[in-house]
Amino acid sequence: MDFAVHHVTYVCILLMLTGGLSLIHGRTGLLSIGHAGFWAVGAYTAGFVINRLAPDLLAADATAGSRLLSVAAFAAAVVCAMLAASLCGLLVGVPCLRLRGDYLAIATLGFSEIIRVVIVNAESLGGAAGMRVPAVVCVGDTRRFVFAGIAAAGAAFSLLMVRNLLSSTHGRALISIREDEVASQLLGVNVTRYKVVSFVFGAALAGLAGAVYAAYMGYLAPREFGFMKSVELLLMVVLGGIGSLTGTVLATVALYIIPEALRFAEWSVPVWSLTDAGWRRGSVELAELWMVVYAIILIVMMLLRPQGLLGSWEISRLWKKPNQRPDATG
Amino acid sequence: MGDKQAVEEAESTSGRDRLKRDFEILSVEKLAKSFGGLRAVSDFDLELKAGELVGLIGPNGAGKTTVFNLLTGFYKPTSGVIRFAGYDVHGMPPHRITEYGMARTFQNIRLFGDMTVEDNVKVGFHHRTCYGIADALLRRRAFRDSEAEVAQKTGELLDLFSLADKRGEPARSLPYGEQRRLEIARAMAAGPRLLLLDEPVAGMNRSESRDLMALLRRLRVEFDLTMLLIEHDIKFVMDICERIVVLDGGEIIASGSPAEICSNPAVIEAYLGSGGSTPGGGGMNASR
Repeated sequence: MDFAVHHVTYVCILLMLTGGLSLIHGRTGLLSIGHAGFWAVGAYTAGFVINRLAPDLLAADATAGSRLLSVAAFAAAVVCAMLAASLCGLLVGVPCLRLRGDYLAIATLGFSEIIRVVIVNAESLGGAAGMRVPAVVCVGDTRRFVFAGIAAAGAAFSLLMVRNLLSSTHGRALISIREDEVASQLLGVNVTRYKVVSFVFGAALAGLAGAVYAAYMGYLAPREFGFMKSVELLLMVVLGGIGSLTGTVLATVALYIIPEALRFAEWSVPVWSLTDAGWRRGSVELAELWMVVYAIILIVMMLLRPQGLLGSWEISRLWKKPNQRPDATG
Repeated sequence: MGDKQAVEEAESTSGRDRLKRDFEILSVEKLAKSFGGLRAVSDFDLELKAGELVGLIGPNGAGKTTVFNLLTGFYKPTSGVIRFAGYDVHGMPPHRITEYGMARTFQNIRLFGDMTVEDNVKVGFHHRTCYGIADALLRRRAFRDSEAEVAQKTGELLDLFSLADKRGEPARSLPYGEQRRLEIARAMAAGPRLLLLDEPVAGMNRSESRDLMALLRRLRVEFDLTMLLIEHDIKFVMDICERIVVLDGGEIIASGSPAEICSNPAVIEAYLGSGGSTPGGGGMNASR
């Protein structure tokens, strides 16, 4: 049960990240493999703010006043994290506008590595040893439930914001950039501006994810925010379907649960290895083979369904008629 | 923002009477563009009066599409002046020029393939939709009202272009002729006063191109449109255009009414080399 609550919290944090990334990559078509960098900026900003504002407000003898203060400190941390991350989004977005495809991917990768290296070398951020984040909001048995609630609310907020943006004229402008940048420009879309908007928006949501993560985990380690995390996030967006928010959600949940379930099941598969004495039978836990399975899933998907699991299908199609005439509604 | 306001003012003052035949909507002087050592366009002069329908023709590689790219701001001119609707638009980014009222279609269709027919047209309305990102995120009234209006206008355009029953389909699934029509509908959504059409009937059969011609004529009247079109189908150009400009090697070699162009020796030479038949003959894409 405790474990289940932890997984729910973690998946919700991932959803904030993939929601933002689906905007940057899925809709605007900007290939970013540095999303974990924005996440790190958010997490460490939040950690830093909490360390400053609420070092030990929630000691055993905490009064109601200091409990309230710790909630306020968390709120301040969330705001600062989102601002810091979106500022980074702006810093990455502006110089990278002229880049596209592979070049943009490398630039974003470079950004996230810079962030990681800065953190590893910054004494005030705990360096390679990591940063302890004091408990905020609440302690004790209910803590994990409270944070699951916060994370769920954050994920719902993120997805709602992404959806609202996408179904507006601004969202259509973003998608038109992915579809045909030239045509979009010549139809009056300020392509430069919208690319930056996309980066800033996605980064802000990653900042939110970072703040919730920092406060929930109570400990930040730079290795958590490495290159593989960015790739994992990107795969969730790509596998779910480039143009589908529903797909992104499903893929995020699935790609998190499958390896966890494999670890839990402790299944093992036989392997044969060649030794001096000839072939020998051994066994490997399936969970350890996950990266291999991952790769196979990816290759099969790219061959059979390059547009992702759901393509551009959205769950809202279930209750909205596609050929609905707008003048009937308005 | 200031410029946008200026445009709106210009629109409201000139209003319907911008169709006055003496109002010069586009004036291009000594326009030139070189790519490295290659002079793609040089000494290009063009004046379009409001409501005119002018054809731009010339052999392959004459620089017709380059002229379009220069007018829309997609290429920066090497030298020359472009005044559009009374504003100097030289060196402006394309999306700004669109805001002043210029829209175009493309020779090789450039629709937003994975977006629906409806959303393609809605993107055209983008720069005329004036609610902000915050309005969209919070679903404020400005968002709802504006979206309802865009949806209604989109519906009207789709009806006009007989695409209403395809509204929910992805643009790439449309047959070729309808894709061409959708591209014009999308350009019309941007609210142009000058519409640039790059080979609108390329690849269409006789009856399709006749329908399109009727549609363009209708648009011209209903929306007070000025049109400049590139076309290889000489029959089409001769039928629809009032004035024709002939480009060869990046320079204007002739300009005048269809009848004048037909009998102009320089034009005949450019198309067929010395000797041969008139532009109406089989050497050009007129035989279908």
